[in-house]
Parts: sequence; C-alpha cells; structure tokens
Amino acid sequence: MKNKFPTLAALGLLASPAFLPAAATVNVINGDAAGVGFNDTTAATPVGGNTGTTVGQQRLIAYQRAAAVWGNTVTSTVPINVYATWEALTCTATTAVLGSAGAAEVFSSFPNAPVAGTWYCAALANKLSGVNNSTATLTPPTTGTPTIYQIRARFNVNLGQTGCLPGGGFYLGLDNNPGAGQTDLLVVLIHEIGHGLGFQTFTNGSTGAYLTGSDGTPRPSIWDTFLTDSPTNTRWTQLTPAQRAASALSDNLVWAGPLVTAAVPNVLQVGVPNVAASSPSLPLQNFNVGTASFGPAITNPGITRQIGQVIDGNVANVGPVGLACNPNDPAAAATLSPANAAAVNGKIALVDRGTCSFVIKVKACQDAGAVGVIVVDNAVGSPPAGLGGADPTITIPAVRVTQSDGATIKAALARRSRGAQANVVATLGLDNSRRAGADSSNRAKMYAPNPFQSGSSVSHYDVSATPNLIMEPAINAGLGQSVVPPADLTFTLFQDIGW
Amino acid sequence: MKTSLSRKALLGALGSTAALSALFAVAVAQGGSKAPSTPAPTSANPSSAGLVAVRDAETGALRAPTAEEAAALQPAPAGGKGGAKIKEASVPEVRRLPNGAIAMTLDSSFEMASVAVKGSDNKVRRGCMPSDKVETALDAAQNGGLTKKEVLDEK
Repeated sequence: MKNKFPTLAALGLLASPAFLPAAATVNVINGDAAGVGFNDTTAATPVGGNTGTTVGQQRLIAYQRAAAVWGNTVTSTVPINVYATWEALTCTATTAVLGSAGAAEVFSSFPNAPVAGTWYCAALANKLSGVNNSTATLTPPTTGTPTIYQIRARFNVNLGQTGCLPGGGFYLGLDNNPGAGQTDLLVVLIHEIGHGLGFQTFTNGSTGAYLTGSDGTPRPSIWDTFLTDSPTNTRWTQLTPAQRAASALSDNLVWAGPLVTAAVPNVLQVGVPNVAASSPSLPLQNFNVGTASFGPAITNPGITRQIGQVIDGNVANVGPVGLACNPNDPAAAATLSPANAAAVNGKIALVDRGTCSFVIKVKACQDAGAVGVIVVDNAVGSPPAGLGGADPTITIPAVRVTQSDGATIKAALARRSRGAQANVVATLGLDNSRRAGADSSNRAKMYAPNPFQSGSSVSHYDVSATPNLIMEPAINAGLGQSVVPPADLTFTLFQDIGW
Repeated sequence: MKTSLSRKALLGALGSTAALSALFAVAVAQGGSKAPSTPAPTSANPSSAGLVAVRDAETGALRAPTAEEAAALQPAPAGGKGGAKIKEASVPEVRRLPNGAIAMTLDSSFEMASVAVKGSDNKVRRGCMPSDKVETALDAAQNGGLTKKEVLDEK
C-alpha cells in the first residue's frame, strides 16, 4: 500500500517505508540527533548485501529490511511507525543490552475489536479497527516535528566498543552471516519488532494479574485467550491469577490457536529427545531431557543400555553423589576411579551436576568406556536445561535430567538386585509421539520454565522447538529471516490473534 | 565500565487517602532520555491502606475491587540487592477515545530487550527478556550466576 505520510517522508522523517508488494506500511522513524545512530557519518564498507557507505546508513538499511519483513507479511491499512533510536544502553566488557522494542500503547473495546474488554497492541488494534487510534508521540530532534508511533525501539550505539562487549558489535549485513562474536542486527530487529507487533502478553506472568490502568479494571491481553494450560485444557482467561501464575511455571503451557496448531506439522520436526527408563521396580517412564551443545545429537533408535551410576562423594542432606570431577583441580581433566570406571563401562553413565564442567564429566565417563551420559541437575527446576560447553573429542551423547527425575532413577538403582535383568535399563533416544516444541495435540509449547524467567516466559515459543523459531527466548545462531511456515510459526500466531 | 540503561522513570503508584484509595494516573514520559524518578506515594499496599475502591470502567462509579482487581493492586515485593529496593508500582493512565476505544500508554518496562553475555568459553549467548529485568539478569551473569537454566544458554 502507499505511504500515508508523504509530508513526513518529504521531511525525511520516514526512513524506511516497507516497499515491494507490501501488505502493510512499516515506517522507521529516525529519532536520532545529528551525527548519532542513524545519522553517524563514519565511513563503512558495504557488507553482506548492505550497500550503505556510512555506519548510519547501514543501520538504517538493516532496519529497513526488518521493517520490510514485517511489512510484507502482516496486513493493515493503517501505517505502522517504529520510532527508533540508537542509545547508550547498559553494557560491560562481557555483557550488553543489545536493544529493546515494544508496543507504545494498548487498546481495548475499539471499533471492530474481535474480543471486547481485551488489550491489543496499538498496531493490531489499528489494523482491526481500520483507523489510527494511536496518540503516542515523539519528536525527532533533527526535524522538530511530533510524530505518532506504534512501536518504540532503541538499540545500543556502543556495542562492540571498548567497555561494551568489545569486538562483539552488530553485524549489519543482510545475509545472516555474522562473524564470530558478532550479533546479527537484522535477526534481533525482526525478533524485537515482532514483540512490538503483539507477540507478548501484557499480563504479569509472575502474579497472573491482568494489566490494570488508572481505571482499575483488569483486562486480559488477546494473547491470554489462546494461552492454554495443557493438562487441564484450560485457557488463561478461564484461570484465576494464581492459577495463571502456576501455569506459567508448569512447562505445560501451549498455544491453542487453530492456525498455529494446523501449521505445527509443517514446521516442527517429529521426535523429542528423552530418556526412557525401566527396571523391575520402575515401570517404563519417559523423562524429559536437555541436550548437549557437544557430542553427537540424540537420534533414533538411540542407545539402549543399563545405567551405571558414578559415586565418588557424599553430600550432607543429599547422600551419595557422582561428580566425575578431578578432586585436585575442578578445571582439569578427570579420571574415574577403577570402581566407577567398571560401573559405567559399556553403560549409560549417571553423574551429578556440580563442581566441574559438563564436558569434563562426560569426557571422564567416555574415557572409562561409557556409551552415553545422563547428568542429574543439582538444582530444582523444570524443564531440564541443556548442557553447555565444547569439546570436539567427545563422541558419546549426553543429556541432563531434572533433579527430581534423577532422584527417581537413583531410587530405582538403589532398589536393584544382582543380575543384569534386574538393572535399570534406559534408552537415550527420541520420543516420536511428539513434535519438538509441541504437545501431543500439536499445540505449540510456550516457554513456561520453573523458575519463571520474567518476561521471557509466556511471551516466547518454547526452547524445545526444532528447528529454532524466531520468537524463542534464546536468539539462536543460524536463525533466518522468514517468519512464516515452513520455516517459522510467528506470523501464523499473529494470524490467530487477528493479524 | 558500566553505562546506564536508558530507562524511564517510574511512572506512578497507587495512592491512598483516609477512607478511599483511588488509582492515580501519572504522567508517562516517552522518549529515550532519562527522566527523574517519580517518588512513590507513601502507601502502595491497598490491603494496609484501609478501604480500597476502584472506579468501574463501565459505570464510572466507585466500587469495591474484585479479587482479581485487588490482586492487581498488590505492590510488587521488595527486590533488588539487599532487598532494600522497592519495586514501584506502575499505573498507566487509561483514556477513553471518542470512538469508544480504551487506550493506555505503556512505559519502557513493557518493552522486550535483547541481551548478550560472553561466557567463560568466550561464546556470546543472546536472549530476550523484559527491559525492567535486564539489569538483574546481567548482574547475575557477571556474578557467575548465569547458569544453564538461563534463557541466554544456547541450545
């Protein structure tokens, strides 16, 4: 559609109408002062398809591409303005805020609102009502002309400089090919602007309380009408605040939108890594696992072996533990004792998290002849996180189970009797009854870990999704720029909420 | 060097009077510049401030809050280092537009922020969280508290 703000464009305010066969006009409003951010005239060499010849131009072109991704996907007769600035955001030598974005306003009970008494973000409310309800206004310093906007975005102008994750600046190319340590600005922009277009709830996930303003009336977000507690099949809008808060910790929160559910088979792959274990005292049970960033991937048919437990210490109030660390130097390579080596040889080793790195534990077990490793978490929490680290010499698979599930396996081991048939046998493989990132009904899982990850929870897809999705809380390397199936489920979710 | 996150000052809080507590709208600054903090009213806890009333959005009349409204009015627990920092409540202004729409301006705490952390393995991990949780998360990361449970962990 055509730009509805020709006068603003003439003033140079509109830095990036989304061109091509746009379904909506997404404008980037340059809110920077002269010489700063988008207006930085430092010379730059074109990179990765970004033809800008100054740092400011390249930043603008990256924003333009992100705006185009969304402008060519969502539909609206009302332009969407993103008021964007480059600012000095929090950072240190090892940490940094890359940037942020969000809706400037929310609206309820607007003309044509599909669900009354419910909050919609500004851009979506404008689309649904067909008029620009927005009133949020900022004034770009270079023009002095107040401008209405629907999304506010700010990114870190110092990233990569001394004292601000040095060497780890933004990659401004458009080809998803950042260098080591660089952050692909385009991917982050697509993600954060996605939140600004409505990929979030405004309900407090910690308390379950709906967003309440000065009129004292709590209203759910349109998001909440699709969030569903999977075990009870209950929508968030049917739960009490306390129940919503509990649901946000359940690892059983799903999106019950019909379009996402229909698209899941086209996007998410079959098979969820898990441990299936059984023994005479333990009926066959599937345990969720977190996978490792090192070693081979979990595949089918997987590995089926007895579990051999490492025991090399005793912790007060905990009991026997198997750390598989070097007792003299936790940072050094470890060697299992002869007894522990015999216990894990040819088996799937069971060790405990703590003291030394995951790769040291797994390597020690591998050197002792183990064919796989299960690491039991040493802290309460669910679902089990992955195992970080790197060691190219590790050739056996490793996973993490929760502290609770680890206790169940250990209890079965403690009850075992002599004889191979009486031991605990486990299969480290894939559960093919589910898709990675969905429940058994193909409803996409939403991020609902325990403990609650403020804000990351509920307003993102679950990290178990495979392939990786744009709107997971971890902005993974290798994400592309597509927000539609078969690559991604973001736009499909937008369609569920009214886009 | 640690620079400050451009962050809007707080926006408002729940106020109470002798018999009735009402919700006050406060100005919401927009823009990237820092704004001075707005002192919180003395009592932000409706349960300890006497009778609490809310204005019904439909009728305009004052009435007792529902259980859900009361929950929404509860202030956040003390937080921050040493527990001395009280999280101030934010009560954005609700406006009714001529076409009947109900509008509310959001402050930057509703923005989602992406962060990056370089681990001891020199790998940079990136994650997304609300703007108002960023500093806590980054402090945890710097103090070695960034565990594999963190959303920053790569798969």
